[in-house]
Parts: sequence; structure tokens; C-alpha cells
Amino acid sequence: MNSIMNIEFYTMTLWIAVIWPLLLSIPSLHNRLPWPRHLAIIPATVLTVLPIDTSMNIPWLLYGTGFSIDGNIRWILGAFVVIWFSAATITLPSKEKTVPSHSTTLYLLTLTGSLGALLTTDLVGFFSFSTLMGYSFYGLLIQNGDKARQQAGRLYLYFLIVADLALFEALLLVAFTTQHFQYEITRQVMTDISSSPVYLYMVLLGFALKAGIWPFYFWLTAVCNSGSRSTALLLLAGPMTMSLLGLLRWLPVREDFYILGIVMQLLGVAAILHATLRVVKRVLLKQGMAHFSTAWFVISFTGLFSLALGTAQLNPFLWQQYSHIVYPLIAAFGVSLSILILTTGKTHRKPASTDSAPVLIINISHELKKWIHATQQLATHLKLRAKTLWNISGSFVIRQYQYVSSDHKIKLFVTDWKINITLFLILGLAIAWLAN
Amino acid sequence: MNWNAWVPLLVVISSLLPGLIIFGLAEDKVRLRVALNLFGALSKLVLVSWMIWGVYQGYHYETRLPLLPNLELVLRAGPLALLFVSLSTILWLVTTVYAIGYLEDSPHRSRFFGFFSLCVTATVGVALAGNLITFLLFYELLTLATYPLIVHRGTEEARQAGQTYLRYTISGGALLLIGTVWLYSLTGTLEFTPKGFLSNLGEQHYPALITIFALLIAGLGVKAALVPLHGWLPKAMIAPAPVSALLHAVAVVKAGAFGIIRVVYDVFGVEFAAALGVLAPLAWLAAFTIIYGSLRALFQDDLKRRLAYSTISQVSYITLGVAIAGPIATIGGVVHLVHQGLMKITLFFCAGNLAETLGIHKISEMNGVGRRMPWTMAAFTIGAFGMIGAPPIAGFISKWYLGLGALNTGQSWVILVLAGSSLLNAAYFLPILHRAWFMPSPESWPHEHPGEHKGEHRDKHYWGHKETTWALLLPPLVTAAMALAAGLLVTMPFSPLEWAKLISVREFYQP
Amino acid sequence: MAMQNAFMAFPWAVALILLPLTGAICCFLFPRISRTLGLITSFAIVVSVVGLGWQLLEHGSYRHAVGGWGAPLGIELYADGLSLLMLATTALVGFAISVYSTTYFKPALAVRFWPIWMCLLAALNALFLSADIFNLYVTLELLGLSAVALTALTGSKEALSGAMRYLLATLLASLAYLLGVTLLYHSFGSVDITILAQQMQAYHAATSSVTPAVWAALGLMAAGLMLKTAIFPLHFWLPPAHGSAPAPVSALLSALVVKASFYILLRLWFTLFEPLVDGEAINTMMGLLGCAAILWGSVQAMRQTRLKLLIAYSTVAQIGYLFLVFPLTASMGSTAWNGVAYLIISHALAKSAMFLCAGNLLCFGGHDRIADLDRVVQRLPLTAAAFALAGVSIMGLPPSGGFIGKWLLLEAAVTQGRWDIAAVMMLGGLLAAAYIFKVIGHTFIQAPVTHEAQPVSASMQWSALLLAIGAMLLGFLSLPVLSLLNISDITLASGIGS
Repeated sequence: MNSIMNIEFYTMTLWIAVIWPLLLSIPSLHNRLPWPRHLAIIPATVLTVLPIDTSMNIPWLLYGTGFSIDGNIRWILGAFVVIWFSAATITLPSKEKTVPSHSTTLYLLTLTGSLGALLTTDLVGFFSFSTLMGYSFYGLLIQNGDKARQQAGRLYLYFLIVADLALFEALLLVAFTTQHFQYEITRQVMTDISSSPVYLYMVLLGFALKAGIWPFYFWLTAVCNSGSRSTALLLLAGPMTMSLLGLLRWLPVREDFYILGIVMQLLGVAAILHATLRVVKRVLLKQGMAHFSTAWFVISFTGLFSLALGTAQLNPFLWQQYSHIVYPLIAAFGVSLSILILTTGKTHRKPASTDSAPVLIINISHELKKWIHATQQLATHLKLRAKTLWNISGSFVIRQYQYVSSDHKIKLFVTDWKINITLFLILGLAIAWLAN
Repeated sequence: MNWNAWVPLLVVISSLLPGLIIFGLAEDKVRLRVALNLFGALSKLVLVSWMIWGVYQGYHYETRLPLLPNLELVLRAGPLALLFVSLSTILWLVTTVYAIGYLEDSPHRSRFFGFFSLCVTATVGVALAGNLITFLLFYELLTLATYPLIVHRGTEEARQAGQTYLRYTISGGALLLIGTVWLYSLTGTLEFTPKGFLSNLGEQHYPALITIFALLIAGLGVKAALVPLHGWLPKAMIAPAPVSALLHAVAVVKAGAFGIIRVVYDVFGVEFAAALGVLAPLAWLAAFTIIYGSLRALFQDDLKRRLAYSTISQVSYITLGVAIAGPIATIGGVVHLVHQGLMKITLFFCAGNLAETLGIHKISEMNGVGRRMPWTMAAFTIGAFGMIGAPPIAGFISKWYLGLGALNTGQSWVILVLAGSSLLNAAYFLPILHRAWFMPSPESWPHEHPGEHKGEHRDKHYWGHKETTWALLLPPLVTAAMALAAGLLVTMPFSPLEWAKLISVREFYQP
Repeated sequence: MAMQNAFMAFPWAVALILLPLTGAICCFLFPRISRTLGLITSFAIVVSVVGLGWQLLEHGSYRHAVGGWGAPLGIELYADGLSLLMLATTALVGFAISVYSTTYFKPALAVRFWPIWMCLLAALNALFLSADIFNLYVTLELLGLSAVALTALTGSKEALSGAMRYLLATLLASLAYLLGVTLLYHSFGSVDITILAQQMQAYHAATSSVTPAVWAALGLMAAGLMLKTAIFPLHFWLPPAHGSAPAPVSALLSALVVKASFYILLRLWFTLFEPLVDGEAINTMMGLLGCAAILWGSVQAMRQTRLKLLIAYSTVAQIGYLFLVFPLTASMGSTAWNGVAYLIISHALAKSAMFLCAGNLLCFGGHDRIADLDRVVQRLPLTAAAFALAGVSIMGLPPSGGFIGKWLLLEAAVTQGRWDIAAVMMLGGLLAAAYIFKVIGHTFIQAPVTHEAQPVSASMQWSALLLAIGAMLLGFLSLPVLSLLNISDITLASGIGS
């Protein structure tokens, strides 16, 4: 009896863990509570600490979703709790700085999104929560920011939008093939040879963009360079972890589709090489490692992850053997990196870069917008020309008509009795003749 | 006495009578006018709920009145009709509350609310129409009833906007009329039947039928804002915000889109229309409109004009869903009728709030509005994200079904259009949100409404702790919540999606 | 029961003619109570029409020999569905105009108005009840002279010149008509329409040709009637007359007087001439004139700056619609006929409402310039509503009588493949929308110069509004009205009537 009650209570904690930060994010609520950011993680902590695996179904939400927790997820949840706790502690208001309430709102919304994405059991739920997390994180990035942070945020946003589109396409493909969206079933179905390979590409693209896997790492470096420790921490706990988890959950293992595995391996290798080159460059230039951006650690880790996953794609046997290691690995990496960030003090803020790839990407969108605008201007110009032509000819016709019709002589002509009687007689004759 | 035959007529009259009475009221009889308005809205809601419950039980509601020799005025409550009627009724109730708050201290409110009620009468008539002649009658009535609302402010600019509006809509009505007469002369009947009533005409009529289709779609496309017949919509934004909200989110554009749905499903029949080859051009036109509307929206600084172009773009989703000619795409198109109504009306309500409370008309004036009016901007955010297609708001669901429908019928280019449209939507909605939430507010707003003076609060927030009157605040929150619920609770029995599935099944699968 | 029988047996047709005549005499004799007398007479006419209608519904078409002297020597009165509808329209519009005129005219003018108005009513009623062509001439002449007198009522310079023009035109037309009557009488020895029809058809059957006298008669009578109906291009007299007459007079001219000559044209054409002639060419010509009238009238209406002239040109255009019955009845029969009859009735109601509104506006602001209509919607809401509703019927938008008529005509045109006519009708509708909404748009906004407002009496506003509402209600009454229309015992070659 007690144990059943406990499980009931425990299952409630599952969704309380997600709803509680959401509730707290309402400004009038968290303004009245002390230490709201810490309070928000408490249910999640409870979940981590108590070692009971459970799940719950919520058939009426979205397309039928649910929450669950098991050993693997617990690892990552544990890492989460540590990271978010640290981030919350760093951002405690003190005498030198106040924390505006909307910043807390965005923080808590990001937390909701992360927890929800971690705990849901199906693709659509995952997508919904990760969207919430993504946009809230964007808000966190750019609020109270200088130009560097604005740039970082903008990059992140562009990548996020494209990633969401790709994942939406992937979801559509799943829906095209099956009715169920739970992870295992989906991966099962999409393993089938007849399902579309486009799905694989879309998933890879989407999560690569979101996680900052090479070569889409620009926003990572931008964010990490923009200066706030808490933001860097949350980056780990939010987007990066979730995206890696997403890859794990969404990507099926297809024996016949080698290319994907090879591509992932290549990306991983490239990432690690790039990071190594950076280190070498620093050593050679004798710049010291003090200000080496933590972003490169993340990039190497995600590269390693991609390499591993690619290898697993090519050898499914490996996947079955070692998949359970991945979760603790991610958790460990997250915690160690967070310790690194915390201990190195405030990271060096770099000013907004003016000539590198991020700027290029932002500039491309500007150029695109200008081009569209110019085309529209041209179209409007042509339309105006045509309209003017029409107006001129129309007014010409009207002027002639008015001249004709208002001319006194013509008026006299039309109303002249002789004319009208003649018309009358003609009409009569016409009728008589035509009737014949 | 067969009451079931009178319920549809009662639904139509429930807003006509209060409207006519309101016309005669003096300006200062505020309470009576508000009471009449709310009475009309609530009674309509009650009647519609009764009809829905009755249809669920298996009753049949149909009114037939003689109109012409061999043609009757038919009001029938089928699933599609009920979907649109309930949308209109609920949104009318919400908009009435909003309009009462918005037009406080405005002149000519009796005239406004009288024509407002006439508009809803016409919309409900369009929804419940059981044959093409009834549809035409209420469609033209809608044009006539909305014109005085557009020119309500009485300025020269409003008059010009009204002239443009009329030029488009009356020409459209003329095309619709000639198409209807021609159709009637060919077939002798105009009743809406599932799967259409034209499939047994001989081959020699096919060119005539294609021309008739073109005429009907052109006539309906004016109101449904298909390019190039969309020119009236941005200009009609001169009307007060409740008018823009109701008319251009719900009544007028939806009547056009609804008409297209009716013509394709209940006059021609989807399979017959596809066989005639008229649906492919319609799909291209709809796709072009989607992209064009979004592109134009990118460069507008006036908030309402941007929303207008966004409407042009979004309503064509419905047309696209219809033109893809598959059961799942049908679900997407029909359900978007409801979802887009909810989301767009939220956006227009918020725009109206900004204009009325702070005098903000342009996006460049919107810096930092989120701190001053958080609830309004929260509703706006939900609406905007729904437009972009972010889950779990309703827009995501309709895009899902449209995309899936496209995949099902093998027309994958539609997914590109949808993706492009989402991208463009993000491009023009996210900057607004960015400005509102993350930029610092200016020193003073363009024209802040004095509100209720409360002594010591006079200098900072004129409204005290409130951001604006409850009559202006509550409607957008309600519709935003409905948009969110429509997305979150899609699999519940009475969600718009389940309804749309029912309609699609009737059209495609039942004999 | 006895009451009912008495009601049925009463010679309502005779009453319809005698009542206004007596009314005219009494109004002349007792000028001080002429308003009341006029009003009572109008109301009595309405009652009589109701009675006649009831009689027709019971017994079918109605024939009454005046003084017991039947045709071919005596005068017969004949009433069928079409005449009943015309009589009903006359009665309703007449009543509304009477109510309007009680407050519109100042005593000096009123004294002259009421007797002539009663005369005109008598002439109209007699015209619609006549069964022989000479009687038609008499009533036509009386009608014309009364109308001219009413046009010249105010005695101003424009009124007099307009009235003079009208007089000369109408006399010319009547003369031509009389010549035609003479020719027919000389050829066939009778003036009764039915007898003439029989004789002409017998002659045609026997010799399979028609005498030149018949051609000449056709040409003369048709031309004369068309001049009276102001079809393009013989419409030159209408705008000045309607524009300068007082508002109620313009109303009855547009609504009733021009319809009377058209009614005669319809009757004579379809009863006497149409079975005999190969109608193709004539029908085409009539159709062409009708289309030209629609387009010309609408375009001219769009150009006008004065409201009354705009409405007058609108009449010119609407009459063009009526002439479309000729090309469209060729093989279809009922639909076009029904459509035109419906158009006649709804146009009568709507146009009179419009002119009464114009009168209100004139009274209100002292002018009728369209661009200076200053916020009429707020200050004269009933008038603005009446104008808008009447405009809806003129434009042919649902739900109104004009829409029903337009639909029926369009149906006839499309079924017969007459796309040209259909296109012209649609174009006419669009142009009508253009000029009517021009006026309505100006009523909403403020004019550059505000004029001092004079009060307008309630009876004037309400009579206009009720007429306009009647035009709208006609949109829903098509079945009863059309069933009334089909009460007839004149069988026509193209199958019109029962």
C-alpha cells in the first residue's frame, strides 16, 4: 500500500517537475518567492534522488504523449540539477546587481523546456518542449546584452529556425509512415528500408544545428565569447544536451544506409581536428590557455559524440553494446565542463567580431532582405508606371468626352428639336421596316 | 410544430433583430445597447450549442423558404456549417466585448453596433447556407453590411478605402452571380451536396464547367484575398480595430475561403474538380499568394498592415489545403479555418490594444511595449508563434496536416512552400517580439490614454496596476488561450481537428 | 358572409377610376381640405386595389363593360395579373407620394398639386384597366397632360422649360399613337384589343401577309410609345423634366408615368403584333436600344454632380433593362417576362424612394449637390437608410426586388445563350453600384462647407424609408407576386400567361 502510494506520488512528481517551473515563470508569482530559480529545480532533484523508475501517459495532450524516467535519463537529470543549480547560484541578485523579473521568467521557461524535453516519451512532445526551450534561451541570450550578445543571439536564432524547420519535416515524414511517435516505435519504423532516407538527413541537420556540431558551431563560439558564465552553463544544460539526446532518440540505426554513418564520422573527425588545431595555434603563438574559449571543449565533445554515433550506425552491434554508456558520459561531460566554467571565473568577453563566419551569415540574411526589397521596389515601380499610363490615357479619353459633351454647340445639337424629331421618325420607320 | 425547421432561421435572426433595434437607439443609451449586444451574442451561442447537441443526437436542422420559382432559400446545419457558425458565434461574443471597450467615448456607436450585428447575421447566413443562391444572398449582404463599418470614421481616407473595398467586392459578387446563373442554367439545381452535383454532366459541358469554376473562384477569391484580388485588404485596415479583428480575421476573408471550400467540395466535388484539372492552378495560385503575402508583410512598418498581409498569406493555406485534393490536406485546410481565425483575431486585438491605450500604430514605436503591457504582448507572442508554426499552438497542427496531406498526394513542393512561409513568418513576426520584449522603452508613448485618474498614480502608470481596461484585455487572452488549447488538446472529441476529420471523412469516404 | 359577397361583387375596377376623378374635382372645389381629401382618396385606391386583387384571385381575369355596353361599341375594362400588379404599384407608390406631399408642398403649391395629382392617378388607373386602344389613347393623353402640369408646378424657369420640352415630346408621341390607332381602326373596324387581335390573326392566316397599314401602325405606335418611355436615344426630355420638377413629382414621373407607356407597348406588342411579324430583327433592335440605354444612362449618371439628375439618368438606364424583354422572350417565355415585370415593380418602389430622399435632402440643406452632402448619415439617418436600401435594389444586389428581376433576366439570357445581353446587364449593375456608392460615400463624410440644416418632417422621411423597405421586401415575395402575374386569359403566341 505504501509503495503504491509512493509510486503514485512519485509519478505526480514527474509532471510536477515540468509544470512547477512553468508556473513559477509567471512574474507575479516568482516576484513574491525567495530564490525562485533554486525553488524551481527542487522537484527535479527529488526525481533524481529517489531511485524509482516510473512513467505516465497523457493521451489527451498533443498527439498522446507522456513522461517517464529511467536509469539513463536519471544520469542526465542529475547533471541537469547540478548545472542549473550552479547557474542559479551564479545569478543570485546581490548588492551590485539586480535581476530583472523577465530574466527570471526566461530562465524558468528554458528550464521547463529542458526538463520537459528530457522527460517526454514521444517525438512531438520532445519537439514542442525543445521549441519552448530554444526560444526562451534566445531571450536569455539577448536580454540586457551588448552588441556581441545580440550578434550571438541572432546567429543562434537563425540556426534554431532552420533546425526547427528540418525537424518539422522529419516529423511529417514520421507521420507519413506511422501513427505512433514514441521513441522506440519510431526508430523501429524508420529503420525499415522502405521509409524515406530524407528523414535521416533532416534529423541530422536539425540536431546538428541545435547542438553546434561541426560545421555549425559558430553560434556556440559566439555565445561563449559573449561573456556570461551562467549563459554558458545553461548552454550546456539546455540546447546542447537536449540536441545530443535528440539525436540519440530520433535517429534510427539503419544497416543499409552507410552514408549517414560515414558523414557523421567525418564531421566528428573534422571537429576534433579543428579543435586540436586551435590548441596548437595557441601554443605556437604562446598565448597561453587562460582565455581559451570553453566553446572548443564543447565542440570537441560534440564531435566525439558524432564520431561515436557514426561508428554505431555502421556497426549496430556496437550500438547495442555500448549505448547505455552514452548517458553517463554526457552527464559526466556536462558536470566537468560546468566545473571548469565555474572555476575559471568570468570568461573573457570578446568584442563583436566583424569579419568571420558568423558575420557572414548575418550579412547574407541582410543581403537577401535587401534583394527582396529591391525586387519589390522594381515591381511597384513598374506597377506605378503602368497605372500612370492607364490614368493618362483614361483622363485623355475623359477629357475628350467632356469636351465633346459639354460643348455648347454639341449640347444644342443633341437637344435640337429637328434632330430629335428626325430620330423619332427614323425609329418609327425602322420598326415598320424591320417588322416586315 | 416542427421546431427543428426554424432553428437555423432563429440563429440568423438572433443578431438581426438586436441590430435593427440598436439602429434606433440614441447615442447615450449605453447600457441598453450593451445589453442588447450581449443578449444577441449569448442567445446565438445558446442556439448554436443547441444545434450542435442536436446534430450530435441525430436531429436534422433545415429551413427552407421560397425565394425564386424553383429555387429556395435553404439554411442547413451540416458539420462544415456548424464549424464555421460556432467559430463566428464565439468570436463575435468576444469581439463584442472588445468593441464595447474599444469604442468607449467614440461617436456613432449605435450605428456601429447596428451594422456590426448585421455583419454577423450575414456571416452566419453564409455559414448555414444550404445552396449556392442562399450563399450568394448572404455573401452580398456581407459586403453591404461591412462597408459602413469601414467608412465608420467618416474621414476622406476612410471613404476612399471604402470605395476600393467596394470596387473589389462588388465586382467579385458580380462574377459570382454570373457563375451561379450559368451553373443553374446547366444543372437546374444549386443545392450543396457532398461530393458535388456535377459529376453526371456530359463531357461537352466540361469547358463551360471550367469557366464556371474560374468565375466562382474569382468571385470568392476577392474576399478570400487571393492574389491579384487582394488589393482591398490592406487599405481596409483603416477601420477601427474591432472591425479589422472580426471582419478580416473571421467574417469577410473566412466567408471567401469558406465559399471556396463549399464550391470545391459541395458543388463540384473534389474528385470531379481534380479530374477537370482546375485544382492544380488553384494550388499554384494559393502557393503564390502565401509567399507573396509574406514577402509584402516583411516591409510594412504599420502594424495592422503587416497583419493584413499576414492574413492574405495565411488564408491561402485554406485554399491550398482544398486544392491539394486529398483527405488529409482537407483536414488541414478546414481546421486552419478555425485556427487562423483564433490566432489572427488575437493579433488584431493586441494591435488594437496598443493603438487604443498607447497610440502605437507603427512597429518602430513598439520598443519595450512588453514591459508596459505584458499580458497583451504575451497573447501577441502566442499568436505570433502560432503563425510561425511552433508547437504546441494551433498553427502547428494545421501546418502538420497540410504537409502530411501534401506528402500523401505526392505533391511535395507544397512542403517547400510551407517551409518558406514559416521562414518568412518568423522573419516578420520575430522582430516585432524582439522589439516589444527586449528593447528599452521610449520616454513616452505616442498617445497614452488617460485612463482612470487615481491621484498619486497619475504620473507613472495611468492605469494604476492595470495595463488597460478589462474589456480590452480579456478578449485577446481568451482567444490566445483558445488557440493554445486547440493545439494542446487536439485529440479531444470536440476539438476543431476532430471536427475537420469528420468533414473530410464525409467528403471522401462516405457514399 | 353577405359582407364578403358584397365585397366581392363590388365593381372595384370602376371605383379605381371614379374615386380619383371625384377626388380631383373635390380637391379643386375645396382647396382648403385638399390635402386630407387627397390622402383619403389615395388610401381608398389602395383598398380598391386590394378588393380587385381578391376578385382576380377568385375569378381569374376580370372584364367589365361600362354602362352595360360591351365591345365593340362600348368601353370595356379588363384586368389581369399584369394590370393588377401595375395597379398595385400605382396605389402603393401613390399613397406614399400622397403622404409625402401633405408636408412637402406649401399651401400655395398644394392647392394646385392635389387636383392634378388625382387626375393623374385616375388616368393611370384607367390606362391599366383599358381594353381598347382608343381608350388607351385618351388615358395616355390625360396622363401626359397631367404629368406636364405637375412638372411645371413650381413655375420656375427650369421647371417651365423642362415641362415645355416634355409637353412637346409627349404631344408628338400621342399624335403618332393616335395615327396608329386610326390606321388600325380603319383597317379592321374595331378598337378593342382582343377583337383586333382576332381579326389581324385571321387576316394573317388567310392571306399569310399583313397590310401595309399594320406596318405603319406598328411603326407609329411603337415609336410614339418609345418616345414616351424615354428609351435611348429618345430620352432627351427626361433629365430636364425630372431634374427640375418637385421631388414627389419626379418620383411619380420616374416610377409610374414612364412605366405606363411601357405597359401599353408590352400589351400591344405581345397581343397584336408579335404573332404576325418575324420578330427577330425588331427584337434585336429593341435589345440594342435597351443595352445602349443601360450603358449610356449609367455612364451619364456617374458624371452628374447633382443628385436629382443622377437619379434621372439612373431611370434612363433602368428603362433599358425593361427593353431587354423583347430579345429574351423570343423562345423562353415566362422567365424574362416575369423578370421584367418584377423589375418594373421594384424599380417603381426604389426609384420613387430615391427621389423622395432627394427631396428630403433638398429640404434639409437647400441644395442637392452630391459632393456637399454633409454627414447625412448622422443627421438624416432615415433618409440615408432609404437611399441605401433603394440603391441596393437598383444595383440588383440581394436581397431585393431588383435582384430577383435581374436574376430572372440573367437566367433567361444565359439559357438562351445571349451572353452579350448578360454581359451588358452585369456591366450595368457594376456601373449602378459605382454611382450609387459615390453618393453613399459622400453621405458619410463631412463636406468642406457646412450648411445650416432645416428640419425635415417625419412623414417625409418615413414615406421614403417605407418605400425602400418595400423594394427590399419584394426580394422575398417573388412567389406570390409571380403567381399573381400569371392570372391572365390572353394567350400569347410565345406562351406567356396561363
